[in-house]
Amino acid sequence: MKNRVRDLRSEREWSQADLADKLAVSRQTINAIETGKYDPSLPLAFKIAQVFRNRIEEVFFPEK
Amino acid sequence: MGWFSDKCGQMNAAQRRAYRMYLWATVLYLGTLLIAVYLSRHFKAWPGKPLFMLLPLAAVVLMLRGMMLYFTSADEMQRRILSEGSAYAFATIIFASIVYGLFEGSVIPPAPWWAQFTFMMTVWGFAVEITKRRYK
Repeated sequence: MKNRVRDLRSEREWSQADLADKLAVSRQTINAIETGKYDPSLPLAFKIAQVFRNRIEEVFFPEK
Repeated sequence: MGWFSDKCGQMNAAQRRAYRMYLWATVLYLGTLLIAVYLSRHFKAWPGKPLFMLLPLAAVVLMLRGMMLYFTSADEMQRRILSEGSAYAFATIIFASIVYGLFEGSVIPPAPWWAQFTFMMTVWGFAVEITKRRYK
């Protein structure tokens, strides 16, 4: 699964730590999601989309 | 001690508390264990001697509580790392136990409890470390 988390975070000039605080997860988890090493659970994916005020399918999408 | 040494990245406040609880419980365990061994050797004739060996039990309960608090306060990726690491460690320890059991007594001497404990914790630490690298 691919995602736009890094792009969306950079647009808002948030650090990984800032986003981690907003989502109540560790910075390592944010890094793993951004690099595609870890696919978040559905609740966390929805939470990420909500933080960026996007729909989930605008943040996460399948690899083609 | 493997997973407790911040193997899964930065610790949050709840995890740090759990970690401190675990460390103090370990110190308490070692202290009460020494006292229990000392007392049981100096009161050999006393019928309630086995009660001395219950002294470290409270510390063991605290250690387990520290572990549980650490696990429950971890985020989902950290939990996955801990779970996968535990699964790999479990499989490795089962395999090693079977192999060791085949040779124990005939080729190699029986291992003392502390060596078994150290082996298990070392395997666990390596398993978590290897799992963590997959998510870096």
